[in-house]
Amino acid sequence: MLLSNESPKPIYQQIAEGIEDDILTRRLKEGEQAYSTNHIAKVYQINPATAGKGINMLVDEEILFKRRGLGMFVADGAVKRIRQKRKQSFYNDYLIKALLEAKKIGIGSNEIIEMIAKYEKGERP
Amino acid sequence: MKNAIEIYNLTKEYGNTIALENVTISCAHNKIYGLLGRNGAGKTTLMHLLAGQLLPTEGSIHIYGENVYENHEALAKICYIGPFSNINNYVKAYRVRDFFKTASLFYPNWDQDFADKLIRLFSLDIKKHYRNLSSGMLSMVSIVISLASRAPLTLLDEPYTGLDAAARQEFYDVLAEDYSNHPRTIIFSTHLIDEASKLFEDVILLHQGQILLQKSLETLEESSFVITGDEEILKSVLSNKNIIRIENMGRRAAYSLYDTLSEQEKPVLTQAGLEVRSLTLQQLFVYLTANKEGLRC
Amino acid sequence: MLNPTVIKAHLGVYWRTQKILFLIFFTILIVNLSLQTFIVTIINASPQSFNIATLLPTLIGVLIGMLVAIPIIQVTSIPYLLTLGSRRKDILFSSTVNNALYTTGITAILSTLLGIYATTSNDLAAIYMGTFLTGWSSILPISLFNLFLFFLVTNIIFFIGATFQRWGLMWGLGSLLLILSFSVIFLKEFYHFYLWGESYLFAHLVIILISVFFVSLSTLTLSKIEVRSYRPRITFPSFIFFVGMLIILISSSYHGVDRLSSDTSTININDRFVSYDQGVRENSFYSAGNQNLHLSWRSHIKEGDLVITLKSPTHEIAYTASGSTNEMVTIPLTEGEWNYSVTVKNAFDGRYSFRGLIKK
Repeated sequence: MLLSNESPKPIYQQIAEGIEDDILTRRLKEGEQAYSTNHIAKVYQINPATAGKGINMLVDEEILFKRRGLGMFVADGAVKRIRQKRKQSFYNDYLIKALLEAKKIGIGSNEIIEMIAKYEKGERP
Repeated sequence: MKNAIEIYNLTKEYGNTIALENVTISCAHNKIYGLLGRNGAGKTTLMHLLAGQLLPTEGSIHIYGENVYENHEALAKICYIGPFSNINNYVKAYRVRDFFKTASLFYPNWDQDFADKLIRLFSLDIKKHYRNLSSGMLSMVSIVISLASRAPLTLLDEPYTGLDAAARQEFYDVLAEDYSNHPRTIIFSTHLIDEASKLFEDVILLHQGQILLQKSLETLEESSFVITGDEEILKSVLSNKNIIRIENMGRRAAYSLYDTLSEQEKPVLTQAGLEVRSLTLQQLFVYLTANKEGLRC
Repeated sequence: MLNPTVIKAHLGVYWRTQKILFLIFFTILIVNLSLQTFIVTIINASPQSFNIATLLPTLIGVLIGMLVAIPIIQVTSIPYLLTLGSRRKDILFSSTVNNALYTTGITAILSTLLGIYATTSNDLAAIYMGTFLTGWSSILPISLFNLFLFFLVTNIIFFIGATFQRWGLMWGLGSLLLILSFSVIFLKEFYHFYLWGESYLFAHLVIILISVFFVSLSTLTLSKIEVRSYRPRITFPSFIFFVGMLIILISSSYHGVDRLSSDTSTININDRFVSYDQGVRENSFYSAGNQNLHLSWRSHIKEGDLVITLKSPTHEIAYTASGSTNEMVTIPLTEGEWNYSVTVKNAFDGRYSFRGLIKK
């Protein structure tokens, strides 16, 4: 995960998404211990309050949970919840941009569908 | 619990020049504040005043509920080393280790082990004489004192003049880690805003001796954008927003706003073929302080 | 409340910056001593040729220099101490303590040197504030006086330094001139006290009062001092103040010098000889009456006779002394011509000094 000053998302959201990415790619498995606030603060040189806010956001969404005295852990069903959430933003964050770009350079809808089919077969367009 | 800092109606004049005018701020416990402002905005003056090293012309300053002037209890809680090379020009006979020895006597929370760790980290030669130190080394000395003093209120004023990028990264590392383990109130002024901004929790912006804004970093991140695209579209879509800068490139334009965008507004903008990016804190700072007319915060 | 830890820390800061002065002092002491040893060895002279008298002026110069340098160095560390979160009153207290400590040290060194000089000198006894330096016991009142005087000097210099630091170049120079102006008006009293001593108790009292006065002035000056980079900026009011003080100094010097020579006249005869069969040196002065002669007579002779005689206008002997003596007397003068004579007979290796001051 790389933090960007220019991303339209605040740093705490970028932190939260970074942890989500790690969960989605199974770098963090359900039931395992997640990173601590201080660890994140140190690694990314950010304010611990900001890191804390990112983690709390994930706790609110039941992706992480707190074990008293032990720290943060990845909740069961976290992957499912993240997927659900990401699906909602997939259209806004990715698809619109791709479609706008396609329109700009004159790629039609059929062509895009062909590309997707090729991608799934493992071929290059 | 009382705030770490309560400043009310503070004015500071040097002869006929007004350095600070009617400044009112309060800072909570154990937060890192970024104090931003252009040269001569009054950052250093404000820090000197907080540390009781300058006296206010008018107004009041309370640190942990106490007046600073001649107050040992309050002064012992503050560490402000300031632009090291200016203040300590007189202490020419000193070696680096003398500065640390002296500082250890003055700050009740001084952590010698931590100081030693920092000295090793920066590879500081403690036997060197003050007059033989480069500006980078002087900054290291003041950083070591500022951090190892573990003062409840630590003021960092442009702490890394002359430090190279690698040393600055080490400094951010150490600051983030030590602050996590030993939370304290830190006021951090710097011109390298983008580098340091991730460490801030709140931002105070000083402009021409006055407070322009005091907001949390998040609030600022969520209310400063640059939107590029067709100028006609930009004009119509953003008509009710607070625009702080417009750059034209033919029919395309980049509008910088200091305003919020709701979750409903963002997809609308994207669908209209506009590109939405965040302004970095540095850009926001530059635009806000450059924009003298029509500024609405 | 004053915090002993803070004061200790301050003294540490002062010591770190002032130790260089001691280094200089001891270097001069050692260089001087080794030079003398070297010369004595070269010319195969007796160890008596070691002369503390040649050492004294240099050392006194260095010690006086330290009295000026120490408070100035203290003033320059004020911004540093403020930076470290010291209270202004703590800074003033610790610097006064520091001044007192150094004053005591310097007085002790000086007294030791004077004492060695007084006990080993085979020459004419030195006179200092009405006291003949003849042995360890004669050093005591001088040491006490020096202690007070040096303390006063450091406090005055600290005050001047504080004005420089707080108000800048012109005000600092102006206050220096003002203090000098006051001093030169009393040139006559200083000179008189330096030679004849007399009212030690009064002098101590005055010195203590002035010291307290200057410490209070410094407190006032430092009570609002700020950490700022020092720029020698000349403003119109400060320039006027400086010029005003310059005029005051010039007029007070004129006045002081005028007072010094008014209603008084002095007599000063010194001589030294290796051998003398017989000789008389005679002289006279006129008194208008109702005056006093303060007279100090010092003589040192190895063999033979050396006699001083002072005769009144009616040829009565008002004062006489012979051989090696050190005396200080006050003689009321009647109107007329007074005669004094120094008679030497079969004398070998001697010196004398006759100093007189005639005043109302």
